Amino acid sequence: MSRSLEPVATLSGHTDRVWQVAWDPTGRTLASCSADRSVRLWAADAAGWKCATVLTDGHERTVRAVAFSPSGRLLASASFDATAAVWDREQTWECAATLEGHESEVKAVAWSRSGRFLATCSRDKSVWLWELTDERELDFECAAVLMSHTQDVKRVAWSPTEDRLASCGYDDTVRLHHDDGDDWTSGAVLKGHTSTVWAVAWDATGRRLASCSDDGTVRVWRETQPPDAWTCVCTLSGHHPRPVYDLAWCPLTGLLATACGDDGLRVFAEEPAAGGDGDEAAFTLVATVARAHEQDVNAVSWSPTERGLLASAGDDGLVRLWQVGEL
Amino acid sequence: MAATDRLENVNPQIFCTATQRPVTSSELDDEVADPIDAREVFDLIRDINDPEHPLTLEQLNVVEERLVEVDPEVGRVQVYFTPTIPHCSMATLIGLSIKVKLERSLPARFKLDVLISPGSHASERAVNKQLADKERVAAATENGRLLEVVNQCLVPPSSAEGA
Repeated sequence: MSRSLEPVATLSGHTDRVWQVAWDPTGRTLASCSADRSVRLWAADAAGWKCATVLTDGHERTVRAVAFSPSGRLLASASFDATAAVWDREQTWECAATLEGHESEVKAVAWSRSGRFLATCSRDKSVWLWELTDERELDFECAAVLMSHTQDVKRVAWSPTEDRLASCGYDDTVRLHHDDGDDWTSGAVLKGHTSTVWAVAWDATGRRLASCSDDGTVRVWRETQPPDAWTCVCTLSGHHPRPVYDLAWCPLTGLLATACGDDGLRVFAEEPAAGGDGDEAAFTLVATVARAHEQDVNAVSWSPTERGLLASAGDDGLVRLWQVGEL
Repeated sequence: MAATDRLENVNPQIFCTATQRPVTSSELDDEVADPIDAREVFDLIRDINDPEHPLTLEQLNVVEERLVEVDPEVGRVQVYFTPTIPHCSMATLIGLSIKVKLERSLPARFKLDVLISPGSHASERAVNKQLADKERVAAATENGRLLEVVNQCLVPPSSAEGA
């Protein structure tokens, strides 16, 4: 059944392309980051969405990615300046730590479900795991350096149910990593995409993954034989005429949203019959906004608290909010 | 990068250049809609300097008008370029220069695809993938040293001679 996707708000302020958007766990603050080297924090009051804070002095180059810790207290940002920064809300968003070690641009950051680990990945082909060893002093130690990718790593994403990390990138693969009790190891390699995998997203159960690629497809993978044997159960092709730069799998509604280089936003819903546990899954395109932004759409993110509220960001420097109707 | 000790292609073939395009009266008329066409895009890139020879990309036949495709409706510009030799190590730099020049000159809504002419380079797929990756292109153009090399290629020929 097709659904509407209505514009709710347009947040302008960034002076260059916006690369990513991330919600805090309450859904009351939205962070965006940009090639203008800043992070903006947006919040709603009675009059609507406004920019509440601008974080400017953490990075010397493009801020490529942002992520809130599960507690909502910390915000991590990743930059082309080869560092990741951690900002502390309790200190009115002071930069509390700078994580150095990558040899070139940091492309993404992600917090584990407990907030104990922060993962970063880079053009230098590595994924680093930082352990928050002292929560009061905000001390981080490098817990592992994972070198399984053969090219630029574009994104990292933690499972919502366990300490398991997915990463993807320019080598066209998605890779999984876990703690085997002794050390962090890289396990399954998910092959199928024919070009760069830009992003990966878990479903709420942590047993399925969706990935999107420069090849214009979205693939859904399922762990068929736990632990760590994965199969592609669905390929969404023919919908995206340009690269798919991001996707988001809503834990509240199960809807899958994509950000495409054709300026469009798309929302897919799973066919109920497939149920999600079979060897195959089927997704239907239920909403499209052809000109969601004036240029490439770089990011999509579902509100963690408001059903069907979606944030998007584009090369046009804008952040937009959308509401899926008829939920 | 531009100043290598040894030239890769010592004796390149030099081609005739296109004549100046005559400006028509309708082009000067603000009332007439004037969509961007292949010739206009070609004019933007034909005078880009080759990184190793004091010649333009047009003189070396690296860019040709017939290899420029424009779809003004969809807002797509596709440029194929032909490296002078199949192992040219400058291919990525040349493609990047074309891309940067067009990004600076065309309205932002245009989707730009800069690709190697099929079959003309040993690492065609790798170079195409790199040029298509807007994140890596963005990082490259933030890199001061690389940007300087690109800007050298984009200096107009008259001021390059003066330098």
